[in-house]
Amino acid sequence: MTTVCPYDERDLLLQLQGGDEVAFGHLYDHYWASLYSYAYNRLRSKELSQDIVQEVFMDMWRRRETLQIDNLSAYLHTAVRFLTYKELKKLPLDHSYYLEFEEYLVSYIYADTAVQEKEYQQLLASWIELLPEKRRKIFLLHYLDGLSTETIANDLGISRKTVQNQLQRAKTELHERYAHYLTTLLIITSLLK
Amino acid sequence: MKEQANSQYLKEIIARYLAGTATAAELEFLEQRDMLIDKDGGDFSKINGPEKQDIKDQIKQRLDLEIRRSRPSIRFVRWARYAAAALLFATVGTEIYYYSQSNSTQVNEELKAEANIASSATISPGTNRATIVLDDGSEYQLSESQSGIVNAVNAITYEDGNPISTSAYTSATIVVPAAGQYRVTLSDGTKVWLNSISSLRYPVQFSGSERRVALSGEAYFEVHKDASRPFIVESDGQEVKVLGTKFNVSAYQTFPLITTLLEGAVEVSADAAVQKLTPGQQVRVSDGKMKLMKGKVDLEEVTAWKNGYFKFSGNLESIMDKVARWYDIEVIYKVKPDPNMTFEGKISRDKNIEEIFEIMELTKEIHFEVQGRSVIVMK
Repeated sequence: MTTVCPYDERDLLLQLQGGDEVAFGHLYDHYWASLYSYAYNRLRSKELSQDIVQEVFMDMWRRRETLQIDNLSAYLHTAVRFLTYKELKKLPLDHSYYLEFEEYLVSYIYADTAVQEKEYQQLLASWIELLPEKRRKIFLLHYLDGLSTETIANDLGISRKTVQNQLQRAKTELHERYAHYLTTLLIITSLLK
Repeated sequence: MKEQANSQYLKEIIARYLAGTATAAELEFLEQRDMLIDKDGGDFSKINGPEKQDIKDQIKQRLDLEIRRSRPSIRFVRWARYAAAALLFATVGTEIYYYSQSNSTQVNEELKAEANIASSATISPGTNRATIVLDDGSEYQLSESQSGIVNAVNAITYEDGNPISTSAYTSATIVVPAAGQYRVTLSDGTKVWLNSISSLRYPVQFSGSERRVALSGEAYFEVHKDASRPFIVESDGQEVKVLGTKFNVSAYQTFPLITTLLEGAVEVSADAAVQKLTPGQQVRVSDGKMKLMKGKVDLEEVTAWKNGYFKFSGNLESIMDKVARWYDIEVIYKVKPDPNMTFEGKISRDKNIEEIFEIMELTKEIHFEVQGRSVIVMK
């Protein structure tokens, strides 16, 4: 996406509208990789990703005469994104896309660089915000209590002490950040104990 | 906690995104997640160069195929029909392309699958079409169900005897439009076949010491023998003088004047140059310069049009010039055709234009797209 298209895109689009396959080819050359990588990075399937990229370009070709595209890149990426999510919705929960998401949510404990922390915190924060109240409580409860220090230590091959320290830090931060959620949550937890 | 409850919920959010009912916060979350997944190129960046190239090529091939199939006006090859109707192959340099039976079977299978994609616009071939303009300015659109007119002593009729006009005229002009052809029998019995975009002006009755007609475009003449009155065809500064013979004159504007003799003898003159032709010879006049063509002239190719078919032998542009006149189309070249790419073959002039293109496309060297009355030639 950062590469510069060697032809003026407006010209190519005009030629495309006239049914010019050469212009179509240039647009394909320019965009195929970023579109394919979007699909492939999520689906991890060559076949599905190829199908999606093909569909996106064919759709552009079929509708070339009526297309009003101000921003071709955005148009194509929106299309590939939609089709990719459509496939993702069909995939089972044991597909890597979902497994990695689960992993990611607890990876704060494993995280050790500042950059990862920041991105992680953002994602975690928006995820927690999204959850309906009941789900949110369950998530936090699971998050705080469900992580066994022992499991993490074994997974990472680090000492239980390190894990405990990290986990404590995570809990503290979560408490600070989500204090308003946790107040009620902790009451529930204590009642359950 | 239930295993993967988060993923389950993520799926619900995806479903809402697809349905267009996701909240702003949900969309924001998906975007954040997207960014993280593509960070550092993701798994795609781990694919090596050659494999990426393969993937790229595979998708492009599939696209090209699908585009070809989706083109409404150019349908897939109807092999069986062509087998009898046409014998056309292409040569590029010294290579010859053959199409195996297995290949055509596969194409037929594909055709069946495509059968429900109706052809929206087909370009029909030309037909018998002409106008006669008489010297009093009256014009008659000639019948498409007739193929020629006869200039008899006191009437102009169709070949079957139906009258067109019984008034006395001194001269007439037959004008044949694009996608038309017509035949004229002159008062001396000379027969003239007129091709598309051609016109012939002639005296309704020949008188005097010569028989003089004026031609623009292309015509094939079978001149009735009359040694006392030479027959002269005038076109664009050239004169072809004959006694009794068969010959073809092509005199299209911006193209060379080409006179080809089949039988007898003619004398071609342009400016100061004069050339006598013997049967089988051809002379070309271009910018006032006359050139006798060396080597054997393909007479069948020269007169194929009057016998109802195309005989192609030569480069694409020369073929498309003929096709354009007969189908009344405009040809647009997206790429300059390789002058070394030549096509050889015969095909009936009764075919729709797509059928001609389909055959030429079999060479895989060329590609046509029909848009209205324009044909775009692509590689």
